Amino acid sequence: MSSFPDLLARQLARLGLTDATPPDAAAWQRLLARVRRAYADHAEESYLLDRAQAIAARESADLDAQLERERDLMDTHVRERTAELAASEARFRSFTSLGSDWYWEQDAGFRFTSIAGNTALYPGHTIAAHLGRTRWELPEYDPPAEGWEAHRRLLESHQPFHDVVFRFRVPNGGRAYAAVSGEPVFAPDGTFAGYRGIGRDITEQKLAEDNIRRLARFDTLTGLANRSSFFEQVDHAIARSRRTNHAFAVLFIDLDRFKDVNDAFGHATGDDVLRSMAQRLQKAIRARDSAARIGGDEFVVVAEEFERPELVAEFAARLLDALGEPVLLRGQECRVGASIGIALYPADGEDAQTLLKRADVAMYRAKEAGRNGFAFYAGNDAPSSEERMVLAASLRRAIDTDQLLLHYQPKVSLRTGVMTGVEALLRWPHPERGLLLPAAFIPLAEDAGLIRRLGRWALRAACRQAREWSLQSSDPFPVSVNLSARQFTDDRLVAEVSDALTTAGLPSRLLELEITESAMMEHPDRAAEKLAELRSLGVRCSVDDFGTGFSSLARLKKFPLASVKIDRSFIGDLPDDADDAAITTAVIAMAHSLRLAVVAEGVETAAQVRFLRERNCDEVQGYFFAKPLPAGEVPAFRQRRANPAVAAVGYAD
Amino acid sequence: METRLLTHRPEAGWSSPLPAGLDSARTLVAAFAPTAYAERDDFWASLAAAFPRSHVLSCSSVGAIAGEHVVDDTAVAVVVRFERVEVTSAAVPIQALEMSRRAGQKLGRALADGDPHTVIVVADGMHAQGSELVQGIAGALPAGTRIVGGMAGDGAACQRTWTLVDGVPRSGWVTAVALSGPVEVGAAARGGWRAFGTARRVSRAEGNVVLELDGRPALAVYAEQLGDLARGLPAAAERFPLAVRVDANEGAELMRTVQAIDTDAQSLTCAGDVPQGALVRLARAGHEQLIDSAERAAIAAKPRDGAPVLALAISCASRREALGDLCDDEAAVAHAALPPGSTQLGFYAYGEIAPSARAACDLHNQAFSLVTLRELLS
Repeated sequence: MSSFPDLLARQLARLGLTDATPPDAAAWQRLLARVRRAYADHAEESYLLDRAQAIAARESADLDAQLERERDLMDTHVRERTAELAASEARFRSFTSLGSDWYWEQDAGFRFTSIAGNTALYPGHTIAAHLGRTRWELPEYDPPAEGWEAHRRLLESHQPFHDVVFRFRVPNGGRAYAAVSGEPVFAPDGTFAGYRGIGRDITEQKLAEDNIRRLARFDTLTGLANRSSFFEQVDHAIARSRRTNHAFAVLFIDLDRFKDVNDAFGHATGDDVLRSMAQRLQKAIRARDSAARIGGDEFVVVAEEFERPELVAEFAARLLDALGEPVLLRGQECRVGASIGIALYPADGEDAQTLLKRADVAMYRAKEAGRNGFAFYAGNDAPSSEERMVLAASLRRAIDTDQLLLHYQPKVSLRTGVMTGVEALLRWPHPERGLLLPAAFIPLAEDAGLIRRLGRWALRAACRQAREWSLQSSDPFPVSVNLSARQFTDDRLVAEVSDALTTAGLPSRLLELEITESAMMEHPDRAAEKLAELRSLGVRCSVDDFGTGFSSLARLKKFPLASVKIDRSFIGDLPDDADDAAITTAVIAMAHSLRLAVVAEGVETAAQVRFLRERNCDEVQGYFFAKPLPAGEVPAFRQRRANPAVAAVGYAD
Repeated sequence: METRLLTHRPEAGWSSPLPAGLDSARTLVAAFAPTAYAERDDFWASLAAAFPRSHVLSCSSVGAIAGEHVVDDTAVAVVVRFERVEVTSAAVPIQALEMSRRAGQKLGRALADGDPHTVIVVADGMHAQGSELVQGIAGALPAGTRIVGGMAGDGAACQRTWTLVDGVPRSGWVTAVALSGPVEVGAAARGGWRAFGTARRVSRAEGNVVLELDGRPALAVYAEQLGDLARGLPAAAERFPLAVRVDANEGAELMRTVQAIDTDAQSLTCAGDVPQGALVRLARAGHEQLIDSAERAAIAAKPRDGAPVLALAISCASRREALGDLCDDEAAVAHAALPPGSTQLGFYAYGEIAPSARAACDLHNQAFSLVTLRELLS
């Protein structure tokens, strides 16, 4: 049966049939059934295999088409990315060539590994010699303004830096300046690999700035020194006086009838008068004295080396004579005249600000006493009513025209060393008197009925600023604002606070209000209600100047407060004054028992910091860490405090 | 080792008197009976009377394999008295489908003490998850113990399956006998199935339910492959099991019968686990391939020296369905491949327990599995 196909042979074998013996009818039927089934099996198998093949072919074609589409997409993507890359590289090139002159790289030891680009402008001219060395190892480099130590600390902390100015000695003996920026470079595994950055030759710009600064020292109308160089002159005078032990005087001169002249003859004539008065002053003073114009019709003279005040009086009288000479205005003789206030160094003040202020006060007395006279500062001189009126008017104007400023004094945690918040402090950049502190104008504002407007201005400005910071930081910090007693008792306070928050879009937890102990204790029940209302807004309140109001801490228990601020008068003599030390220690302990945080203000020395930290005071505020800063400097300060290395330095006793 | 094969028909009784003389503690009685025999108290009473000391292993089947024939409405039994091989037995209830592995572990522990050479398991085919049960048993027995057997069947009726517990047929139990001592056992399972078409990745499956293949609904992929033959679903599913490959680099495929389809969920319910991530293809077998595979199983399981054996044939209920009146051929070719003088009997199961390419003991579907036993004489 070997000639039969295998399948048929098996069927025959199973039925016991051979080709030699024809089957009987029953066996024949069984054989047929088996053959039928075998064929059917075969047909089914063929069908399924064909079908499988068709499906596979279709799927393979689909896959091909999909691959084709994906390859097209990929091609497009690659083309687009290549074009983007080329554009971005071109941008980078033009950016670096516009923004910088050369490009540099340093290794992890801050040694130059490459200086490339427009190296003809590289002030050292000795690039090869610079490779392999740090900036401070190179004799051509002068230290940056903050000194090598500070610069190296910055590098060690792997911080980026921008436009650090380096001065170079160049071969011809001259000086060149470069502004250098850099950023740390990290290897893929995160280890520090060095720095890279750019440099720019700013020599010309630097020289131009010097020129501008020189120009900026003089008043263009009269050619006299201006306000800022007046302060320098006073500083020089103080320095000289300390060496020679000679007193000197600051004379504040205000023209008496200048306003009338201006009104009657116009500004051009007014300017002529100012010029001629300046010339007279210049003539009247001695070689060692100096004169400056510091405002509209205000002049100052620094008169040095007087043995006796009488001599100053003589000098002032001489100036009055010179200024009192008639002037010819359009053919008409006029006497303008002046009043002079005198402050003496060191008796009336030890710095330029104080001397100028006191000379100003004395000048008002001279005017009150009848014009064309002079007066010495008398120690208890209160500002005259006229001065107060003038000041009040200009304060109102300053509020209305948004000329007031807030400075912000950081609060630093004694536990972590990081900045936890700031207190907003009012400043009035007075056009003539310089930057005024609240003590100089708050009493005035209270008398003039301006305190509410002032308070509202400060609240709104602080909220705006806090909002701005909160947008810049993932971890925003609260800003605290002082409330005056009058503000605190005002029925509209809660609505105003709520309004200020809404207008600025500031979350209420980022606002803190500081209320003096005495304001709270005036009407304790009402104060408690008000504090509860503020708390329900989500605003935290703290008691300011604690210890000055003679109230016990226990009475604060009923107020919903977040913290207590120990008055600076208890901090100043720490740790030596035993009474202050005992009071401070007790206040901290009791406040903590009431679950109030404690802030110490006016902290100026490492010894005070140590004392307060040992007693678990929570936060401090004061010159030891930072003076009140312009808003723009706060983020950088916070950044520095966030750096543990710097925070630790801040603690070094 | 003395072996006696008998059959029993409802109207005629035993084919010959029961050899009560073979009763002993070393005697194994294996009996496979139609589902309806659960009610035949006289049958069980006669066995109990003749073999009070023997270990009786019994389960339901649809039709039984007796020698080279498949018989319907007939029980088949073998009585084996070993001389030195020790026989023990155990039974454990399967409280819930989800506790199949636990029941397997318990059974394994009950038999582990005797350090058995081979364990023959019969379990309720409708109240146990075969794959889980087998893994439970294997995990509790010493490594190297041979585990064979099957899940009691009920033909295509799927109404009641049982195993014998303490002389009484009961649903929801797993029972086993363990053999230790000088016994030689061969076991092999072959299916004859040929996978065809594109391999699909099981992208979503839960236990024995396949939900997605290559991210598409499983039933849609399955039916697409069948084309016109899909019109025969769901009955036709039994003829097209899934060939499952867990590891793409591994050649061996395990068959999984598609027991049911769900047109709403578009899923395939299989008679055993189909792990997510596995590759599957459809498989089919012609009558010839099915028959051939029985022969190949016998050739693989039989001893090399040609000495006669007791052969326990456990075939899949769905093979019987597929072969129809050719099912005799399956029994006949297997029997013919065994050494002359061998005794063969067996049953149709809902899952065959035998070695596989992936495990020393595994749950098969659609296979013809053959276990050969003989006592070694010193």
